[in-house]
Amino acid sequence: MAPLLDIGALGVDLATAGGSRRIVDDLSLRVGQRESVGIVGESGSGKTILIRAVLGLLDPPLAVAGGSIAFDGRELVGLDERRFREIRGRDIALTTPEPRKHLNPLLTVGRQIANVIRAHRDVAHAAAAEEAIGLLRAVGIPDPERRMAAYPHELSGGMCQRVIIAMALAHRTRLLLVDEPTAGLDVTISRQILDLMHQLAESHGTALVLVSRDLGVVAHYCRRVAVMYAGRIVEDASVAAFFERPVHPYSRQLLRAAVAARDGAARERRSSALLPPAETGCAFRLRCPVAVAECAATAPPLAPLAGAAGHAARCLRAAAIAAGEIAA
Amino acid sequence: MADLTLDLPRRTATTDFVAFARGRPGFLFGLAVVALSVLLAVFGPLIGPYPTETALPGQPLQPPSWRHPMGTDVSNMDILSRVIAAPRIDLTIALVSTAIAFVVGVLLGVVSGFFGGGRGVPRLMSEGIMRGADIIQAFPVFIFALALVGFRGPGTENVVAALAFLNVPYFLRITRGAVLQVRERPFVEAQRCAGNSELRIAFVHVMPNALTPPLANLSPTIGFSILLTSGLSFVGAGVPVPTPEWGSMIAIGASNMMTGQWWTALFPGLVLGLTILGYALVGDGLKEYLDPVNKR
Repeated sequence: MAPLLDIGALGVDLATAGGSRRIVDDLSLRVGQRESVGIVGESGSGKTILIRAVLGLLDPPLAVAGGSIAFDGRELVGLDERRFREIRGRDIALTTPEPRKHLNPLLTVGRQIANVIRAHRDVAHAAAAEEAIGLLRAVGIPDPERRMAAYPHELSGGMCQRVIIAMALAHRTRLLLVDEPTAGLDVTISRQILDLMHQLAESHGTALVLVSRDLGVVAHYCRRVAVMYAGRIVEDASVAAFFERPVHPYSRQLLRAAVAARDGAARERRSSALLPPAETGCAFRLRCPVAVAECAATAPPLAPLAGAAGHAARCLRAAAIAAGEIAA
Repeated sequence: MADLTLDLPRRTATTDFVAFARGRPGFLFGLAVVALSVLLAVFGPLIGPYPTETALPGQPLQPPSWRHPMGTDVSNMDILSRVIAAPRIDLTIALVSTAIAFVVGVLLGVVSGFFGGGRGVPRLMSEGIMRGADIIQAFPVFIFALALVGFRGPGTENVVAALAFLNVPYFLRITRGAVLQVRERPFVEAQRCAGNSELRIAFVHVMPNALTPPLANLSPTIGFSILLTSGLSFVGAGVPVPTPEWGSMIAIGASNMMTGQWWTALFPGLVLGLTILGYALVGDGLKEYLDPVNKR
């Protein structure tokens, strides 16, 4: 089956006074129908820009500079704004961190959900309100008839997140982009929210792209994971393969750091972690423990690993690392 | 089992407002002035003890007495009756012109603020609006109003038109400022993600969230418009005599003041000043009341 979302060699440029800078480069990612993919990476690695590019919401000075984004076989790069608007919110939806800030403070939540319904379907106000009550019930908000009349400031953060989910699933959404679902929520609530999201996505047949800094969340809710570093995907693997034997040195450091944080172990102090990505060659080489002279000369492509289907890494020494010849 | 009930005083918008106003004597005074001016605008001409536009038989320029608490003017018209009849014309002009300026200014402010950062035609429109506002505001207000009225001739509608025209840039700027802040808030982007059109976002989601500053400025603008109306009438470019109007009453009385008949100009001037003060105080209070940071 053709992938639902097929991003190929996407580039995003940031226009600055001194010329343009490539901040997302050669980014390829496929998301199958009903698949759930996690995107992890540190701040500034380009996760949010990727999401905005998919939604066609990059504003100057940011602009897509080459590559393609195909959604359900339809090219989104350069798509007419009016056409794009039909897709946004109907076929592709977004949930955001800080849910309350993403709701209009002057409208009741019921009204806002109804608005989303009416933005894409020609239904009467009353029918949309009726549907909105159903959605509120589906996202587990008690007493939905009464909550319809509540304003965002009258609801808790978790409730607001549920409202956002209700809005995101108001249509038969094909692809749900989930940006930092756990930010600003406590552990129990974020667990509930993620479970809800996951379960609704399953029952709706919606594919999930889950952007998170939390590897645990990705491990639990995704089937595949893509690691971003400096605007590129450096490793793309199934969750099982990734957590069992990550290949890219960056992924390995990321995992080690997460494990150390969980175990409360003494923090691994690496002054190299503060180094910025390299401008030429492999972006990670300055922080990489196994970098060789060749890494400075050529920027490696995202290449599939021999003998491991669906596992790709952007590293010249991936084969050696995977074979256990060198320890990264 | 004991029935656990919690008796909290019911909090509604009204109780909130009363609690807010209670501790602010200036605001209360302003509210009283505004309420009184509105009452007088409706009933004023009916309340006064004497006719407001016809001279009474007898001596002109009588000092304040029990028969004429504010005295009579040079045409032997009762000043009190005229002072309390004046809000009808003054307030009507101020209200209508401010309302027009508010609507036009807010709409233009949303357009210029929301589309200001973009490119192409919307950007040009936004820039055009702002340069137009610059031009209007480059002239001294009173001189410009005088020129506008002089151009079209005196008369109530022309005063309204001139004041509305002058106040548009004012509302435009404060709305634009608010819109520039609101449009950067996350929920605007969320509405974009939900598939709303830019126009719908601008007027359904951004505009209502940017209304507080222009709303809070309604009251002072009304007060200022009353002052400007009186000013225009004072120099003879506003409401024609003998319609009771504070500015023209001051103008009529000014020459008598020189010869000792102080009451002719003093009382209309005093009432005019108090009225403007009241509207300004209400504006200050509302600004504070509507600001979510200061609230409770």
